Amino acid sequence: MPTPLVELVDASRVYDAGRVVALRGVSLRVAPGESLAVVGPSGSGKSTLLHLLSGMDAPSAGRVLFEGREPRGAGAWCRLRARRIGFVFQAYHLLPALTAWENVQVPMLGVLAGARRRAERARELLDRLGLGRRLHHRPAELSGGERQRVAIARCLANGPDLILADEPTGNLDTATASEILDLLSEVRAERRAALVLVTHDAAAAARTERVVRLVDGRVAGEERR
Amino acid sequence: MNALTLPAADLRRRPLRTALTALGIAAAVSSYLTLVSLSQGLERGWIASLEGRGVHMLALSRDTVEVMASSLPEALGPQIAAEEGVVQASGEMANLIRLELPGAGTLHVTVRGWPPDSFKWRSLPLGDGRPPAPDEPRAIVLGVTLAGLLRLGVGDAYALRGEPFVVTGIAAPGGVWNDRALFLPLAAMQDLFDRPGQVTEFSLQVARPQDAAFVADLTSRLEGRFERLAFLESGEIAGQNDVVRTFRAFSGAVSWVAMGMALLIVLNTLLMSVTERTREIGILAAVGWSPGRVLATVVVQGLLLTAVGAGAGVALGAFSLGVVLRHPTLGGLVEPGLHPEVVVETLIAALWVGAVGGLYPAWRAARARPAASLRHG
Repeated sequence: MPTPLVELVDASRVYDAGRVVALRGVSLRVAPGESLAVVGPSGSGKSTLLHLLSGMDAPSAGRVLFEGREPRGAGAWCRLRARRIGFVFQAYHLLPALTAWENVQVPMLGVLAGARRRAERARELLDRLGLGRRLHHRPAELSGGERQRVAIARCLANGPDLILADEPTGNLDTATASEILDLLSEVRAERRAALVLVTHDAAAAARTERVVRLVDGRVAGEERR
Repeated sequence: MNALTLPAADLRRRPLRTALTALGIAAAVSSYLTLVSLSQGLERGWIASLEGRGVHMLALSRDTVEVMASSLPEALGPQIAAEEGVVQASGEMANLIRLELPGAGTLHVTVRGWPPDSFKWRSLPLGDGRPPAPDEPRAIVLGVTLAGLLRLGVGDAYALRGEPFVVTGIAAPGGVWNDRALFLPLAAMQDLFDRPGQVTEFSLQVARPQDAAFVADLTSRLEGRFERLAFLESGEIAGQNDVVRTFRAFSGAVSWVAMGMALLIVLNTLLMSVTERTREIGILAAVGWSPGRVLATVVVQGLLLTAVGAGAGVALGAFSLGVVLRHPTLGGLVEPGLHPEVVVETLIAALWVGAVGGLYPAWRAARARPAASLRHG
């Protein structure tokens, strides 16, 4: 088997001095270009798993490897998130003070040199996602579907190898959710990026190559298609 | 988009919050500026009152803290003047008294008594009238501000400590203390204050005031000859004066206290601002911003806020100072006006405070785990 892009090795995460256990000894490998859905009831540890995979949180026990190596410290994870990992959140998490265009440029600061190049790339991404006419709108002036498109454009800003999506359709109506999932699938295929999709939606999970079920912080089952 | 876009946009997004924050900083800067200007203005006013025109050297009672309280025999004047290198020695008396103003209120003014033949009369710039003649023991010259406050002009009568005097001149020597001073013949002053034959100091003119070696030698000779006296060059007067030293210590203490208050206000304000933006800072970390970049953004935002607040604070401080100095008693003690160096010093201090005040909240924001920050709020 080739070296996984990202891997959890017997990872656990506890909060409140051990009173809350979010993940219990989870091991998971994500191959380059693979699409994977993580499903499970609320509180089963799905979002925590994504946070560990992106270095946004650290395991209480166990290890997280990226391309077979354990990134050393917060700085190394920051560099990975800036250049290799893109994140899409259920609540969009756009910066309310900035326009759609500026939000997409945020990850490029410090990665892509030149304000004009950043602006041009952000425009291309937003055009690609059908928001070419909404560049100068702030998040509050956009619909839920449009906000999530902006968030996807931001996630793609630096050409990630790994896309982590945490309930990306959780706040959207069925039709918009379907559009967003189509978009995610397309851009993932275009870039040959790996996708880890946390979802409650069976239809969304059905679009991926592998489904991992989490229950009470443990892997309770896995299905390949 | 550049490094300033996000901090500036964040400030614009919450105009009320930004305005209130800037107002808090403005209040701190304005307090700092007003307090420092008041204490330094007090010092400058006092120094200006000490530095007489045409005075090369001052002879004071040795070890006396306050010149006005000292007593020296007037008869020492001719002995000092007789020393080689001394051109003139003018025995003088100075005092601080309270005058009743027409209408309401009182005013503290400096009273200076000079002998009729003193060079001080010749160097006093008169706007109107003339100095008292040698045969006019009950004549006075008023500083221009004092004349205005007392509503007196040349030829008017004025009762000083119950004694009748006539105003013979209006002088404009410059400086708040001097323009509110009252000048009269030494004999009349000794009589008024029951100190016959006494003076508080001697003003000297020397032969070669620009020749440092000559002045040093003369000072040494005079101090050897008159052991109860200290001889100071005019440039040393302020530095050697205990009252000025006290003002300077006060001014320094006020500056530090005001700076501490400003630091606490900025720190508290930025800490609240950063706490409110915890989730946004989490987003920045989630998209790969390094702790250094997050820290720089928060510090830049603090500096932007501080710059806006400091600008407003300078305007507010100038206004406050003007209002405070309208009080007749305070206005008579403090040299008015915002000095450019104080404004520049205040702006530098404010930006320093903004940077330092922003560092802790920025450090706190930068070290938080993104996942924890995103769960916030």
